[in-house]
Amino acid sequence: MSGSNIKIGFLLLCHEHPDIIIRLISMKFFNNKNCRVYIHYDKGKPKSWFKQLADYAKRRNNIFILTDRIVCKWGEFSLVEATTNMMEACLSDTSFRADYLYLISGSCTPIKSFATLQKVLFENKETEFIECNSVDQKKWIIGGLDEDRYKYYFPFNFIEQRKKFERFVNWQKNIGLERKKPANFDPHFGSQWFCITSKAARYVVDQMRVRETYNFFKYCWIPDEFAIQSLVYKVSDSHKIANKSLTYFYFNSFGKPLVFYNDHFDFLANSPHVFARKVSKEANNLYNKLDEYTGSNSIQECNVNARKPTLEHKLYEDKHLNELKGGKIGRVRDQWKDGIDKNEKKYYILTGPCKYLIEKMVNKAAEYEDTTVFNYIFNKYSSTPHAQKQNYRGFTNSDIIIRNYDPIAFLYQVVHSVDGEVCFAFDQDEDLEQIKNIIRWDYNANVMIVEPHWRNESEKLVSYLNETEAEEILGLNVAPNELTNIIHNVLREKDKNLWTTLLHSKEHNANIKWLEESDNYFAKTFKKLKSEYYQHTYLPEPNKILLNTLYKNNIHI
Amino acid sequence: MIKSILNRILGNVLRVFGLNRFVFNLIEYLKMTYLNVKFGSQLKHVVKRKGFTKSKIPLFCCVRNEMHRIPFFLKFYRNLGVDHFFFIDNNSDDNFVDYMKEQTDCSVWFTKKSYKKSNFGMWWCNYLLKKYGVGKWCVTVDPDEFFVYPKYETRNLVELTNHLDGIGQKTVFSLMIDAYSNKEVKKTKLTKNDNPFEVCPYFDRYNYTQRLNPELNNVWIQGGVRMRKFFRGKPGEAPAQNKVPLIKWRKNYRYLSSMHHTNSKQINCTIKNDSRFLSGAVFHFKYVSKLKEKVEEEMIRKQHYNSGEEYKMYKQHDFEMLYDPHWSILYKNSDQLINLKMLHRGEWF
Repeated sequence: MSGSNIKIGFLLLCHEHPDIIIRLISMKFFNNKNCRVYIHYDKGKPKSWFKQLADYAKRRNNIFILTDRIVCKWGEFSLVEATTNMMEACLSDTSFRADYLYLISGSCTPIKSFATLQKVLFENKETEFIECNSVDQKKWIIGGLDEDRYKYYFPFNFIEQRKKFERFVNWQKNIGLERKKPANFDPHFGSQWFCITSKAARYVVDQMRVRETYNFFKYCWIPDEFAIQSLVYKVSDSHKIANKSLTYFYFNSFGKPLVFYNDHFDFLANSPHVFARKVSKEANNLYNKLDEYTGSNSIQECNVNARKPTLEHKLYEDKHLNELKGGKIGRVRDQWKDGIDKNEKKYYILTGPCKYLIEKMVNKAAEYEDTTVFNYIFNKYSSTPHAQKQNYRGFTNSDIIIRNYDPIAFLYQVVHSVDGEVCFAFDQDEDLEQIKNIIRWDYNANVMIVEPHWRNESEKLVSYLNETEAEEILGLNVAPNELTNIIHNVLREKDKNLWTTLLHSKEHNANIKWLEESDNYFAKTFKKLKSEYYQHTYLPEPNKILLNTLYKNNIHI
Repeated sequence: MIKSILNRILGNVLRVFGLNRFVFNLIEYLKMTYLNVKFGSQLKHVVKRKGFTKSKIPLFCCVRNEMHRIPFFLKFYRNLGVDHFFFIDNNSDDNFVDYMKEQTDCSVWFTKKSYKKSNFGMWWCNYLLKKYGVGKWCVTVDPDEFFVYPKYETRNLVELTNHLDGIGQKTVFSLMIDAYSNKEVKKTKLTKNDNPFEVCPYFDRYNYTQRLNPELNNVWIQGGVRMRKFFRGKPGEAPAQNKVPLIKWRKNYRYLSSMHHTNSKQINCTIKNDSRFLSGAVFHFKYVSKLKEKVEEEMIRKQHYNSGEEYKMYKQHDFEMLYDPHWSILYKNSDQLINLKMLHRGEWF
């Protein structure tokens, strides 16, 4: 296979416990004649740890451990110096002559086979897999210092000498100090974990030997994120720079790197990267699985395209990282909003002026086994999920107490009481105000407005009144001629058809339609039922009397 | 009544000198120290293990005649990464101490004193937590409770607590899920080594209500099968279903009532304001045949919360079947709980 003789030198920059390092480098991935590992072990760690690691390296013929070690501290030049030391060791290894140099850390792990890495490097010939983002674009660094990192001197450690660090930076800012940059210095930022050609590495090592460059980077802040990047950018053609890393890493919104656990094997194996960082120390199963997977000689699918950067990776990331994060348990701000947020299931509401017609239709529909239709369960005065049955879909007639305790939670329970979809009748006069608001602003609510077949306008008018209103009007004892005016006034006052008004306005999120225009399972059922029923019979008694009075006096509107 | 009037008078007098805060804190501190010493002295360290103070993730638990649960309990939490168990044995007569002597990672404190007077075991737990748990991630549960969190099948508590330390989350707010079987409670047998997740695999999925408790800055959850079955007629009295079982303990912390909340407002419900944090769940396997014995004993002993009001309710219902096809769902794994929105994984990918 082409590319199978590409030689890769791995530079392992580490400070972890030797057991973890040995677990990593004893993976079958590194047991290859085209692969050598050069280890820099932090001098700040106990001597016995180094000895354990050195003893292991002696037993392996392709693993070398650097003897001149330095103390590595986060954010300091020591990390860059250790890296360049390893590069030098690798380049001066005349028996190997690496084509590529790959920097990894102790918490990295391979996620593809060695042959796959060779293939990726062969297909993207002479490409530098290193992130180089121009400082002007300011995309790479989110928050924190950017240009300041090389404008001022940073002789103090950020963690150990925090106060001195900050004071010294502020003092330099105040006196307007600015350091002299080396000639042709074009700062480029990017992640530390690179895979570059030996040609570029040679240039970096040579440059670091130049006193001016060395001294410049020595007092910079976090130089591991721009020193080597800037040098590589300078030596390579810009189209040869992939501006992405072959190592997968991700920082969450707390600025902490993503950690991989035992259940992440599929995620990593399908990721378009060759290495991943960081892997949990406890994830033994993941290590074993990856060892098995990356130890094979076959070429695995790894869709790295140097020309088309990051987009693919971003899509992959978004798909997995931003999938469902969980629930609203414990996440209560105000109840009203919570009720809407919690629900993601569509539900249906049957509403309209003629209460009795709806009740009749709902009661009929509820007799079908596979349809879940509740009648007026949010009525202020009573709660019976269904008139005929004692126990309907897990609800009983005594549920009014629990409903009144938390109506929104009750709505949520009703909507989810069966696996299928749920419909309930809702009357805008007599039902709970709270629920009305929920339905109005809920994207998942589907309101169907049903009106009976009117024979004339009088009937329509009278059917919009509810029982008590009709009784009140009857009790007024007014001249029949004025009746229509009074009815009109009453209806105007009570905002008689909220849903029909909303139909034409935009002040709602719910999906509001006439029953005739709706197209769903419940609409079909109710359309059929509506054609079976004739409206006249279902007016309440006072309304009937009122209508008859109108007829008697020959008042037709 | 008199106490509150005195408090108010004292507060007003001291406010003049600007000392009210200091004096009340001092009184609180002295009271706590006194209770700590009082209940601490009731405990006798009967099973001692070498190096038990060095454990990284300790578990604290108050036990009374629960041998039928203990073997699986140990297995479950060892698997999660608990490295030492701190048991308080409240006068068990089922050879609990003998069994514990065979375990290498369990220490036992024994007491015969009243469970009720020590705030249902909380003062004993608080004492041990303060003595051995400061600075560590401490699990505090009852023996019938099993703490789960997102992906707990494949990630242990060390990994969880490393993540929590990284993002600065101090506690894990949890929903308590009452699980039951599809048989009658009195016929649901749980014996030694039985996995309660298999014996009682059902739980209620949707009927939970939650409201804010501003006094403790906590979210108060009610619901589940307890509300549906036992408190449907008076939902206001249904017991709380929220717990804080995992806390990075500090010396001024203490549990107030059965792990539902603590004295520190900041840690009661950490995920309330930050959706990037994560939440857990506590599986509660109370509804097994042993409950009947326990209830009958309790009717005489009267050592439980609200003078055993809840237990009377159980007796009323005669340990019937709790399963209802409209409400119950079979437990599968933690991903299922995330999909049901009962767990919140936050940014823990």
